[in-house]
Amino acid sequence: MTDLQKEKKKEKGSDKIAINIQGVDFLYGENQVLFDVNLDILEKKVMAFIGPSGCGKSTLLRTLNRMNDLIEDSRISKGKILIQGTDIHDKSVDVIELRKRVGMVFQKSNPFPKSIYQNVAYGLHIQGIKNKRVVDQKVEESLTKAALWEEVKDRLNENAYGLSGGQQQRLCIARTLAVEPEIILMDEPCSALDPVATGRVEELILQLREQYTIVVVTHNMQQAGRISDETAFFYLGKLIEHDKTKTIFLNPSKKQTEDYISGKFG
Amino acid sequence: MTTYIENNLENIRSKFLLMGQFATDSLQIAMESLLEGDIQKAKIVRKKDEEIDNLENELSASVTSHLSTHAPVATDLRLLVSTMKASHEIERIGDEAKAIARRSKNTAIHDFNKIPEMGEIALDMIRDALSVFAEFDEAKAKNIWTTDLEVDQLNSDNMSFCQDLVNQDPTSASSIFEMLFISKSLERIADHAVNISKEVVFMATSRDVRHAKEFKKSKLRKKSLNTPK
Repeated sequence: MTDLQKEKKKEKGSDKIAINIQGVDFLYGENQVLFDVNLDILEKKVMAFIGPSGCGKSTLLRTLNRMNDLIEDSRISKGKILIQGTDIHDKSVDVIELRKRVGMVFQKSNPFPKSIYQNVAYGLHIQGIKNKRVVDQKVEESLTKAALWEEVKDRLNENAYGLSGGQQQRLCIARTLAVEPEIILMDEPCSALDPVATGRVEELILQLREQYTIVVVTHNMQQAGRISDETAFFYLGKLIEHDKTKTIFLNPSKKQTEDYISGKFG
Repeated sequence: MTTYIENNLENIRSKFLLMGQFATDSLQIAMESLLEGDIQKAKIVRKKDEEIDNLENELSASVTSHLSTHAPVATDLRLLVSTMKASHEIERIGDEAKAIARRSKNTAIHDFNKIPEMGEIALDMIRDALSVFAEFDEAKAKNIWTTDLEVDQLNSDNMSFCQDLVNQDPTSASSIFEMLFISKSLERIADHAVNISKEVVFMATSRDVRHAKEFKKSKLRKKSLNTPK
């Protein structure tokens, strides 16, 4: 079987929907930033959100684990977002439980001012897991999955701020993984990293997609091309085009998409 | 106002078309050299081939530089990839034309059977492939693929013709073989024109038709037999 045939078989094999976004309008006060967004995000695939600044991609990402709840007077005014059939903006949904299932990694690495170990164990302690052996094991597992264990295993008790930028970002990924999420949201996870650290995080994303559904916001077109299975292009709050990444970067159907990814926008 | 990127791409497009023009001229002159027995013209073809080779090098360098510095995608990427590949086909046409011109010196045969006709058709095919590159026309591209069948048939006729000639006069065998090689060169040139047009289809539509079953020669042949003339 050729590589192309294998790829086609793999593409056919998995099309379970992890997140179902239905006709979502979103407002900050009176300012509408998302307009009737409809999008299915597939399970155990990487979805990249691309588009110029202010197009609503980060807002949409934050609606997926209700991070926008923290912003006053922001709301979904129409439509809904379903994860495994549950409307996650329904009043009955436990937001803490939702954010455990839908973890998030931010643009700038934000480790806690604690040791490397405590950073990863933090979420476990919040969950009430006290058994040291269980916590130790989870910390090792998470750091290993985040491709950081080998680099930090001998200095787990050192302050996380002593790590390089790239290591701090992978630590944040490990902290997210420790609470065993189903979905990981990443908001420009490499924008503050050098090319080597970026390469490691991208490599990690490619490994993690075997187990997790990942949604990445990125301004780096080549990164979207390298790491994602599907890409969605947003402009002025609207989803302009969504397709397999290969299609978007080889033959997008909309001129706006073509102009944006080719750097001919405006 | 055109951007730096657009200028770059336009420059690459123009280089390709210039290569194509040189290859067309080359074949035209090679055929004249053969049919008129004009040895001087063979020299012009050799010179043209050098120019084609230089242009291919320039075009490759421009494409590589653009790929490495601009990381193009979508239409731009397809243009670069297809042009680079198609430029190799043009370079091969130049080589075949040079071979025809070189062999024209060694053949003492006066009846070229189907070779003049093959030359005309091959020239039209290259011109059509270049015109499809300049302005995409899928029907015209497909027409090149069916015309290729005619060239194959003419090549096959030439083979039988040469076989008969050898039987009649075995002492002229070396001249006859030259003629056979010339016929084969023209058949290859037609194939290169087909390959260029297939690259252009990818460039314009992103469909890779190079090995598509429906466009294989056997299928096209069957289809053309079933189509009433």
